[in-house]
Amino acid sequence: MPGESLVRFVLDPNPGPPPFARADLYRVFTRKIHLDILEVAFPRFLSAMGRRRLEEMMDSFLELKGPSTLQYPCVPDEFLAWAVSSGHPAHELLNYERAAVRAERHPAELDHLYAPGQDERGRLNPTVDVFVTAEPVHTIAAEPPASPSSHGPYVYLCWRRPRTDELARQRVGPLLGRALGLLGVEALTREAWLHRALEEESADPEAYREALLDLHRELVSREGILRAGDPD
Amino acid sequence: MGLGFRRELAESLFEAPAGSFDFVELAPENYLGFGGRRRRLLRKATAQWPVIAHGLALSLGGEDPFDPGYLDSLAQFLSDIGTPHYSDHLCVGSAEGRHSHELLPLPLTLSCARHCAKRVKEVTEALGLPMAVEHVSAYGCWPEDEMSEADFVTEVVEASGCGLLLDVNNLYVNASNFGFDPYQMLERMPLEETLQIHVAGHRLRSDGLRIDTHSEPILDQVYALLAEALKRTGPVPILIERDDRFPPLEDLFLEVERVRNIARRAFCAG
Repeated sequence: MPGESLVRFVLDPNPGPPPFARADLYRVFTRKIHLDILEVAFPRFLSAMGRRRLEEMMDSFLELKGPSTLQYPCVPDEFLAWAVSSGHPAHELLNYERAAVRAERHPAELDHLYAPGQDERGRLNPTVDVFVTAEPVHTIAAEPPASPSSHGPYVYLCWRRPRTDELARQRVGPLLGRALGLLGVEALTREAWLHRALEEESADPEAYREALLDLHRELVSREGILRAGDPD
Repeated sequence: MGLGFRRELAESLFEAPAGSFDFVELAPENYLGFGGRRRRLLRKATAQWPVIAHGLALSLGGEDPFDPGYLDSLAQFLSDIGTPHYSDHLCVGSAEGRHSHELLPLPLTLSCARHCAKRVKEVTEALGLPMAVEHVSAYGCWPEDEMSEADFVTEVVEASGCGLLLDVNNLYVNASNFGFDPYQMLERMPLEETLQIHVAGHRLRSDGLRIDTHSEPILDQVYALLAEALKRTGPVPILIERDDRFPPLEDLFLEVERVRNIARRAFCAG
């Protein structure tokens, strides 16, 4: 079908002559609609790196890969996946920003779920998005560092709270991140979780126990840990 | 009379006095598979008004095979929201698995119309509910064109058995951009098959090209074209599309009232 040549013309890097007069307008519109959604999706990147950098990345994305999703709101997810696979230096910052949207849109039904009481079993909120970065992306305000810092990795969690849809974030060290992973696969009481986590690590048990207790308290109070039950 | 369920307007629409409008229209692509705030808004909307679904991305004029998983999910979504019909555009949006997310115009040829009709039938069967096709605004035309837009649309509608989503603004924009008489074009459209009508505003560029932005008030000429169309379509749902530069809701309701009055006059006269 000749119609498809117009799609190629609007997306391809070197499209050749336009299939008809004013077809170049569609090339402009296509870029604008994609830049619009990426600007909204990645405000920190935009502010740190500038519109031109985002536009250059978007052009590369459209021309080298292009969205495969039918759903326009999912275009930033594919843009991020492309940035990760192409090893773009800013992919960790983009991932940090997108985690909030992934948690916000997660399809899990939460409204019947509450934080666990003292002796009740709890598990991670099903919308929790956990990702690990080499760089402290929450602090990025300018160019991404040229080489990995020696202080990583950084573990970030982002989730949606039941009933209010409010988003919450938490940053933890790798040790605590691993311990939280236990609550991602199994519902446990606080004491059972402490026991398991302490069993698996040889760190200073007293200090580690205190850190685990603080984290559990924090996550329960912000509904990052929810009472066991069918989250679906 | 309906309004587009835009997230920018959603909270105000919920507060609007009862009877300000009768239904809302939304694009499934913006809700399908999403939880959180979008799902909450969707549920509130379906509880409060009839909802009509209008798609953006099936690329009915393209060649990429439809994703059966997507069509299954879409069918379930449409059933859940209770839409009376589903519509999408007579355009191409994707090729070789890449989506432009633009409504790109098709060559107006018989073979292309038949290709679209075949795809419309396939979607209609997969979704299990009536389907309508919308003709799109265009800013250029293909050298391959061999028929008028109205004849192209008629061919698709007749060959597929689907309905028409008549967009009066698109018709006016194309008539102006390509220098034809919108009333003659309207006359040739398969209006008896109309399932729904769209009206909207558009932007006029300094070079005279009209761009279908849905960002401006509706022109008097578009209202007049609507009045003419309604004489043949009979009473069908009419939607005001507004997607950008949102005015105060009261201004949108004035447009709703104006369209209602046009419809009353058309049906009384009929």
